[in-house]
Amino acid sequence: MTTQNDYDKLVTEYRDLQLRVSRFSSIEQQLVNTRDQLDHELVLYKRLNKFNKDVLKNLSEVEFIELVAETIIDILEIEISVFYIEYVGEGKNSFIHVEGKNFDNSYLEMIAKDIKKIAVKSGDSIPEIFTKRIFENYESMNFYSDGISFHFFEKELGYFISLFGMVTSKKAPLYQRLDAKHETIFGIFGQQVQNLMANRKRSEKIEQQIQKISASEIELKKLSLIATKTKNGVIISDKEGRIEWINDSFTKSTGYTLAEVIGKKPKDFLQRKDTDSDVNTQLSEALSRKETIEVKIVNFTKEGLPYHNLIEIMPVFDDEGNHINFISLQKDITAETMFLQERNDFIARLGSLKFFYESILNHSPAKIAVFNPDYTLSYANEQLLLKDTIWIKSQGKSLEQIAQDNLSEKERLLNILNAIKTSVSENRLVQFEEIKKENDGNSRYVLNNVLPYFDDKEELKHIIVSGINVTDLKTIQNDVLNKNLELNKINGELDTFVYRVSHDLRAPLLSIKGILTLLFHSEQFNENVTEYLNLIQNSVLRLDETIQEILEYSRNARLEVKLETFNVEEMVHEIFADLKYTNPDNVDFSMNIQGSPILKSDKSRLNTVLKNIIGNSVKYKKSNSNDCFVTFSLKQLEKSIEIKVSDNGEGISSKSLPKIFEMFYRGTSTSVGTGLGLYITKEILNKLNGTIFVSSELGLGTTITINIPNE
Amino acid sequence: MKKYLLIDDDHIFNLVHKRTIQIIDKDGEVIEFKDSVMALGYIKAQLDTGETLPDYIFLDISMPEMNGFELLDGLSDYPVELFAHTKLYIVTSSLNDRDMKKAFSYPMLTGYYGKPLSIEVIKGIVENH
Repeated sequence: MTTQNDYDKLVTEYRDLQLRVSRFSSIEQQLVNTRDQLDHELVLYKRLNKFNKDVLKNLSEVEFIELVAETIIDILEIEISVFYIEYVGEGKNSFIHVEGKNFDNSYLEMIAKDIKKIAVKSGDSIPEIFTKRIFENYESMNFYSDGISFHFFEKELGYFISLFGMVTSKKAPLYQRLDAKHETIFGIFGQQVQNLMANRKRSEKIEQQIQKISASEIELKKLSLIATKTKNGVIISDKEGRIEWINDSFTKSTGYTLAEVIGKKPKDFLQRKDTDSDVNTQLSEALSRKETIEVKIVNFTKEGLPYHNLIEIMPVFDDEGNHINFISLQKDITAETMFLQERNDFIARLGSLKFFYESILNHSPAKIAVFNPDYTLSYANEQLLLKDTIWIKSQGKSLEQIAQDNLSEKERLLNILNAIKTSVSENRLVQFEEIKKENDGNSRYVLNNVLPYFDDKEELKHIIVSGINVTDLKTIQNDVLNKNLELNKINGELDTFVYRVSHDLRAPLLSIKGILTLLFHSEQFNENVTEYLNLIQNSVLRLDETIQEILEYSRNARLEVKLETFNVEEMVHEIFADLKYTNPDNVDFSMNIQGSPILKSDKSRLNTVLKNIIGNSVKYKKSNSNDCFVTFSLKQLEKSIEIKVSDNGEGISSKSLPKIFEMFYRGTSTSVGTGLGLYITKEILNKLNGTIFVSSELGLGTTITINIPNE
Repeated sequence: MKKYLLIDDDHIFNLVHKRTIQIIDKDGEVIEFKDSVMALGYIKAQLDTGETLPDYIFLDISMPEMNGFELLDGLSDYPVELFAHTKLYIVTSSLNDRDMKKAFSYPMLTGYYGKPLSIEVIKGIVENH
């Protein structure tokens, strides 16, 4: 029986052992489960940790919200997450983000509404688990079987946020039921989001504030710079219009300093009796209505000088719309006003001047055209338009164009163009003649003057072409030319005739002279006969002299002055030699030449003059005197020469002196002259543009001074 | 013995000049021509036959038919050397400068005198020879 007992004992033992084993394995299983659970929780917390790291990156708000929504799914291991934010007061739109499923906007709006309803019933900043039963109360959420929420309202920062994690009924079997473990982790997460969001919003606000401040600072700086630096006067006054501040320009233009005007109203010291009262009324009405106004007014400086002022007054309001200041800008427009007035005067003057000159141009008998530097027609006067119709529609056109338009006149127009080009390139007056065939078959001659006008900077401004009808002149000119030709011919004939006559008159005289010489030489006559022969000889000589002088007179009157270069010294030597030869009596000839003896004049005429004057000195020497002299002196002056012939001859009485240059005047009855010598001398000097001056004293001598141009 | 040739249509001048020459040169032979054409013929004949020309020729300008210049032109074909030993003078009563200028354009011309030739002029000419 022991065996049986033993067996029974053994069975009992075994069962007990078996029970223990199964109990141990159940505990083991529990331990394994707990370990797995803890491992899983660790994974979730690691995910939370990852979020903590990721969120430190510089994220935009949307990125932040997306990260939050993703993290909700990660840490709760659920199907769908929602992030909803709504702002208070700022007018910013609420925003909802759903992760895990795509919904259209209208559905998102419904969710947002339901979330708000749920949130109102929920506690603040506490995670809350929802069951299917609760979700069924909300239309947009009735297909969720499981969910958890976390809401928080930041009154100070002005927003409300709601976070949701949810599982649909359909997929519920695939997900773990939400429990205290989820509640814990979502609570921690929610707190973190709440803090992070608050930090974000705070720093955002600070940043905005900083930006606002710095922006207004810059603006203020700019404004004060403008107010200080502007040339316009600036007044800042309080809402009553009493001055608080003025800028330097105001002081400069009015003479008033800030100390003098602070607390005063501008109109009390800037205006005078005669200030325009209408403008004043306008000004004060606008100010009382607190409107911006701009007026022109005459103000007075501290010294009492009036100045034209353009005033703009603006009321300034603070952020709340309270009127706090007036700002007044004062622009001194005295110069502009004066300028405008002067300009108007000037334009008026210009207009009348233009009218004046145009009327002159239009009344001119000349045809006048003015061209621009590019050879386009700028102006044509009435006379031109009347006589020459091609110019009528040519204003602004170039000469080439006008020539193209009027092919029949092309040559004439191109001539004008060429003359213009020459006048411009050589900067001088160019004259040319135009011959126009008239309808009646007669030719019309036009003398054109082309004158370029350069201003004081030597820039070509315009070219003036003026044409004068010179047909009449031309006819006269032709007549004169023909007459001149004829005259030259006659002159030539006359010259030959005069020489012929003088030759033929002289020939017999000279033969008498020759015979007389032979007579004197060869025969001896009694005294009477000798005396008669002498008288004959004198008469013959005088007649010859007369013939020669008439010839010289005639030649001087007819012949052109002919300039040549010659030596006066040689000329005077010859004259002296001739005189010595014909007057062997002792006369002392001397010469005194200062400067060059070479000069340019009419040789033949000067020879006649000198022959006459020196001849006179010899002819009228003192009889019975042995120390007679004739001195010739010459002095080169700057542009002329001075010749002096002095003698110690008979001299000329003061009674005769004024008459000696008269034709056929002879001083004394004993005179051997013809009365033509000095007359011819004077005539020749007139022709040479010379002068003659005689100083003489009876019984002492004569000095004749001649001045002739040395060309 | 020197030979003088006077060519002048005015026989009084020829006479006066001849007598004046004879006052200076008593032995001189004086040939006179009143007719310039004949005078030219004489000179040409002398040249053509190789006879010596007169030592002095006194030629008037203004003459009928052929004036003094035309006479000189008539001799232009002869080489100037043939006149080397002959002194040719123009003697004229012309006061025209152009006559004097023209006269000196003839290379054989020695001088130009106004009429009448005076004793002093003849003396100067003969003694300077």
